[in-house]
Amino acid sequence: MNPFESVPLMTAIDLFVVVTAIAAVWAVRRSRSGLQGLGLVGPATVVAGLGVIAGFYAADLVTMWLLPPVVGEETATAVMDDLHLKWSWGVVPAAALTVAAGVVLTLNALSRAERQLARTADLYRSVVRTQRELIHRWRPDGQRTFVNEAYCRYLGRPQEELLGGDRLEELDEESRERLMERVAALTPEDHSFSEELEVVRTDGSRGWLEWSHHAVFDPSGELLELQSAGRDVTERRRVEAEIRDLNESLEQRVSQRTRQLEDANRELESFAYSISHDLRAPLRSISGFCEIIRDRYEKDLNEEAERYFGYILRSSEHMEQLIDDLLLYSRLGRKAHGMAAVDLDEVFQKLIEDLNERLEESDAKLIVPTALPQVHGHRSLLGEVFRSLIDNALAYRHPDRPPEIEVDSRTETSKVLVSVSDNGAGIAPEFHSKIFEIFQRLHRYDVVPGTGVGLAMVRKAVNMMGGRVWVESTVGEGSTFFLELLAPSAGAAQ
Amino acid sequence: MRESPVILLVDDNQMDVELALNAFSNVPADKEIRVTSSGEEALDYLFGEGEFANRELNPIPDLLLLDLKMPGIDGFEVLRRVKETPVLKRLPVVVLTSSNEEQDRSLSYDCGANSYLVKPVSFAGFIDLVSKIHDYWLLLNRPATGIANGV
Repeated sequence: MNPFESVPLMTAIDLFVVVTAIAAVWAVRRSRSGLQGLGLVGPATVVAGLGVIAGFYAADLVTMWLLPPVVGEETATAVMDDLHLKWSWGVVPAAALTVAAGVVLTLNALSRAERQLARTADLYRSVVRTQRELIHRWRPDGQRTFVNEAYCRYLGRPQEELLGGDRLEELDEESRERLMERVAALTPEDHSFSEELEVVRTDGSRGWLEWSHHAVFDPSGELLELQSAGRDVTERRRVEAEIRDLNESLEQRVSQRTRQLEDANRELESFAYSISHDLRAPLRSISGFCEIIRDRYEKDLNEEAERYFGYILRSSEHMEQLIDDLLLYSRLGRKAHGMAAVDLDEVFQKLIEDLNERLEESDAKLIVPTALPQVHGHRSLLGEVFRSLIDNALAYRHPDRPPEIEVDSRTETSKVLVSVSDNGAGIAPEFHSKIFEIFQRLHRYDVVPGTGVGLAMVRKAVNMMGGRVWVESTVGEGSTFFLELLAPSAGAAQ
Repeated sequence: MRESPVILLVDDNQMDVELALNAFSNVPADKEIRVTSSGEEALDYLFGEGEFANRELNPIPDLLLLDLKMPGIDGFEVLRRVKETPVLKRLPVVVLTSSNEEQDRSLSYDCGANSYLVKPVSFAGFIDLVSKIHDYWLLLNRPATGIANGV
């Protein structure tokens, strides 16, 4: 009996089974990742089969060299004949089995890949179907090729009716032409656009849709289809329209109110105008005839009568001043127009020329820095403002020292702060805001002449130029008036 | 030819008229002052109509002193009529009013006023003004005589 009879056969079968199993497992693992692995399964199986066959022949050759020296030529030949017979019977089913395994594995992987593809398609379809955006595809001639549920629901028409229907037919002529124009302008580089369109639904209701259209081109650059997604913007447009209406009515109300204010202003101005004319005439008679009597009948008047005539004349002068100031104050409003960048240097230069004589008379010193900034304002208003402040400083001077008035300024980002300080009598704190009210005076007319209009005018003028004014003062030491005015840059931005 | 120049004063305010006459009395030179107290009366005088039909007694003045604010025909209207009438066109018209309003001044010059003066409140000022009016318009100023042909 040949002791090796069954050894190579068993080894070959073991080898076959192991190699086939490894190939199968490897192929299945690769194919799990998708279709890419599938192509490898067949070749891998074939290689495995060939490997097995080659294994058999290798074992056969080895046996042929090893056996004769051990068991003798004759016995070895008999053993090998016997083995060859068994091998040839073993190799055929082994190869067949390998190929069959490969086919089964390939088919299995293929069907798994198909299932995965179908799942992905389902997922996307369901996303598109249940989207709230209205999605549809259509050919450039208007024929719809796809509609989603939201689209059908919004238009109130079934899917069968919409698919294949002409989407252009539903548009009015103007919208259709506009849409076609934009579609014709599409290119593979510039392939999308948006528009808002009003649509009429089957129930007759109207709505606004915001569409974004994307063109699909074939590789040769020909336009195949358009994919459009629409969003209902009816509510947004309604709110927008409401806001627009509200704005309009607000504007209307504002302009109406402005007109009323302008009318009232004009009325006030004409009132001030007639006051100035009507009050001045009787005033002229009073003072005129008083003067005539005093001059012509001087001899006949006693001292008391002459003093009284003097009172009448002084009062007339005061009243004339009041009328003039009142008129000036009421006319300020007209000057609010035409604000520009004004050089304070120039304003003070002119002011000093005008006031020089008065300053000398009162032995006063006016100190103005050489480089004052520009402000956003009205040249003549600014002139009147600073003249009033200087007048005020001269009128309320300290009895024991000559007036000294100093102007200073500081520029901040959008504001210019100008101060006018004096060494005058000063103002008690309780009057600091009162002095800016019209006809408010702190002294009797015969002590300090004035009408109480000057500082009221200052405040009105400064307010009109977008600024503010306040005073800081110590009784017996002096006062500083601060004017916060707009810088030219802030004014230009308004 | 008359010896002294004639001034026509048009003012509806009797007291202002009297003040003006008083002030003029301080001007020593010879002059004759005629007064009309309304626009209507002023036009009658200037056109020689109604009670002023006699041109010998009511000659065309050498100077017209005109108030603006008057009931009925106001100063502007008188001014317009004077300046559109060839016989009166060259008559110097000095507006003398209480108003210092820009709109009154512009309208006066637009209607052809030769001068615009504001009545001062003080009588001393008034005397001074009247004497200056007299000196300038009746002594210094050289008027054109005769009838203006339409320009």
